[in-house]
Amino acid sequence: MKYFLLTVAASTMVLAGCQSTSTIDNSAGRATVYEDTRSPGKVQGVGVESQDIMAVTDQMMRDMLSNPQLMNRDVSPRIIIDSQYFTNESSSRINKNMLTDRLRINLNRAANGRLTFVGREYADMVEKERDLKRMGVVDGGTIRSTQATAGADFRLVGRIMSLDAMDTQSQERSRYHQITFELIDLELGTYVWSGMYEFKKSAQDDIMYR
Amino acid sequence: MKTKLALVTALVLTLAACGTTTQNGYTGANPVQRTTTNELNTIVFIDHSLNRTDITKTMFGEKVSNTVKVTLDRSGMSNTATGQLEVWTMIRNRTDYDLQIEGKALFFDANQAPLMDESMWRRVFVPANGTAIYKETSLNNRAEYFLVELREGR
Repeated sequence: MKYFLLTVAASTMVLAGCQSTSTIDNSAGRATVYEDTRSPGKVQGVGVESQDIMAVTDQMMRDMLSNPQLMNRDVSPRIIIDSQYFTNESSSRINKNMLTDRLRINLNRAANGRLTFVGREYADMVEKERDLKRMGVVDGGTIRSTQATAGADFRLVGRIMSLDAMDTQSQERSRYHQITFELIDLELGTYVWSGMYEFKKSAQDDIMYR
Repeated sequence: MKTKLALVTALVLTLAACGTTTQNGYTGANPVQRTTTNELNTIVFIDHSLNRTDITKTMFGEKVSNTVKVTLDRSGMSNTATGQLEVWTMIRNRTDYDLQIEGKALFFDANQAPLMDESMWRRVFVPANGTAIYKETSLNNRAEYFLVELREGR
């Protein structure tokens, strides 16, 4: 009887030992952190951030939509909004297209046909397709054929500028941004609409923008 | 002596229970604004530290206390030349410190249905004891109602 009990105990211990060699880590991982793009996030510095991009484009869009010179025309004006003449002269690293694309897309959606946007950035692509159609390589499509592509009435120009200051004792720095947006009449060369967005941030800046 | 103690304990417990703020199931200190419905065409503080009303039930009735850092002196709405709805409010800072207030507007059509027109947070700097204007316009002329939410700047 004693031998039987000893054998059972030994085999139980051996089996228990075998079971403890499992390599599966069943602990919880780090949860993905989504943040509200309209508000400052956990990582923030003195540069242009998502909430700034969204706020500036939203304000400019609403301002343009409430401008009678642009919106109260019998024929919807043709506008080019891209980053060609929108320059970054600031010390902030930023993709200018984030501003111009967001402005154009939201404006196009909100204007609902009251403004027409010309895609000059993709003029090459359009010309190639038109050539193929004219040469008979492809058919004429289903919409229509025109003498030429659309000429624009207005074009967006603007600048991102900044003024930096740093306290050499505390290493705290501040950056003032001034972002200007203007629409130029492409016949007369006059400004038909102007808008500006300014903000200043200060921080113990160790944030790197990429 | 025992009876006295029991009476005192009962009184303390009653007073403690009375001192608890209770609003629609909330216990503890909760501002009235937390449980009220936001009507359209109103401007509300979603940051209750800026402006709130607390109602505390006491044995003598309800005690109302107002916490006021920021108030709205005037508000209005109008239509722009292009037909959009424009809402504005005059924000008054009643503290001795500069404040940053952020506002956002939501717009609704004539049937009070959302137009999916929600502005981004617009930051307004209100100097100590001073005034600033918050203004927002809708995207199109279909907007007839609005709801503006204000919070402390982040």
